[in-house]
Amino acid sequence: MIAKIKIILIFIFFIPMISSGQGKYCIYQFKALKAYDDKDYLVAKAYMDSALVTCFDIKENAYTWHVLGFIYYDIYKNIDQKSSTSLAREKTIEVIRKSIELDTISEFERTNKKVLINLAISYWNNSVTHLDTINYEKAISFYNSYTELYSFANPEYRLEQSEIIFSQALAKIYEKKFENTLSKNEDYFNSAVKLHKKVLSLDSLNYESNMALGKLYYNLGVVYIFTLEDDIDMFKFIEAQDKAVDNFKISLPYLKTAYQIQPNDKETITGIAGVYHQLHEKEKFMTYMNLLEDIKSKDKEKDTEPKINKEPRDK
Amino acid sequence: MLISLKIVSMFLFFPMITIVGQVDDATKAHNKIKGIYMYQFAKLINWPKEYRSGDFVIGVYGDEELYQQMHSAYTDKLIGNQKIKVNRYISSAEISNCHLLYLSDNKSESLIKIKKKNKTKTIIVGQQEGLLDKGAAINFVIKDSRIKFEINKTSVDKQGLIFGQTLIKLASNIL
Repeated sequence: MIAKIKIILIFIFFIPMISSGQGKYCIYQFKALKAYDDKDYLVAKAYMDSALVTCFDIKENAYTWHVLGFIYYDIYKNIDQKSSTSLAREKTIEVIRKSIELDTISEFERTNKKVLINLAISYWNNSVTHLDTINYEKAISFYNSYTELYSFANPEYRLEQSEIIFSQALAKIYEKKFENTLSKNEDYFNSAVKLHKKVLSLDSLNYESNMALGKLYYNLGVVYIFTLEDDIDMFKFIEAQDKAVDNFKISLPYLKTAYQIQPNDKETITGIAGVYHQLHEKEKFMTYMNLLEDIKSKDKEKDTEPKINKEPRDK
Repeated sequence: MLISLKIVSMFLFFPMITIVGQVDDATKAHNKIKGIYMYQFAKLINWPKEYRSGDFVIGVYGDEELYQQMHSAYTDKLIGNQKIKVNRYISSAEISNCHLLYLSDNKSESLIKIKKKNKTKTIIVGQQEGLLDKGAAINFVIKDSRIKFEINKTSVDKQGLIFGQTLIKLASNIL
């Protein structure tokens, strides 16, 4: 019974081979299909290699590359265990793309693109797992592969949301590196700023990026002052104070936008108050400190309000 | 899209950076700036011979946090060959033999009394509008959101001290 099913499956694969204009019978391709059906993917790949060498006319057939693409896809999934370094994944993409290129009647388009989308998602997943202060460059590379592949497989899909999520997550890595660098490497600062600005170009009212930019500029201002040598040259000192003030001023509009988006967020209000304090604007500082106190007392009131008993006293 | 919620949430809950400074650190930053200025005043004033023996005394009256900042940053540093000593004063009666004395805003009313007692010896640095007119030699002012300083050159000249050219150049106002 099983043997019969296998034979049927081989024919199911084999029929499109003939219907797709591949008139001549290619024994290696037939064997490849059988091996694939037996889940013997490496053998299937070896037969397909032989088929491509011996049966010249199959090279121009979309079906050939479609089959080879699926063989590589299964090597990636089942033999390479979806490893982020799998070469089979790259080969799958290369081969499936070739199939799409040759598939003038879109016969295999749906399944080919489904594979590409799945692989695009695998790149996204790899970018997530590599997003730390050590491997973040690999994460960027995986993310770029994700966007490139997803856009190809589904040009209508809008990637803005992924762009925002990835940019903010990557920006946090740069922020962390900036904070952890003794010399306060401004390259990391600039990279984080660039990413948050990119997010704001997609969504100007994004709370996280407005807040992050406010914090970044504020923190850079503070860094300029706190890292001053106690016996610094007077002119350098004046220059550093100027730079600090410039950064405090740049941080303010971002924090205020964040405040407009989330007017009850205590951290945002504290940040604005902190900037005004740094800028010696006492009245405005006090205004925001009072606002903060109001919110804190409202929070306290909420906490002391009687709450319903979730469980009856007498069971 | 098939991205799992788990994966997205890994991104979203990545810890956000915190504001380094907030409110308390603004005060620390201001004190750091004032401390650097005080040290620079000490360096950039030409002190006559009679001032150049023993410790170089910087007094702080009325600002505990500035005292702490200056004490940890400048104690035992050198002005010429004099070691810096940073003193904190609780009452104006304690103040004597300072080269430089910082008078906080809330202690400005003591200026005349202190000045009488320390007539020729001390450069008084204050932080209140119009304090130069009342006899302070240097006054911190806020201009363009920055801490700057103004100087009373006339009064200092009378004390036989000379402001260095850098201080004159950088002062926001000279009396």
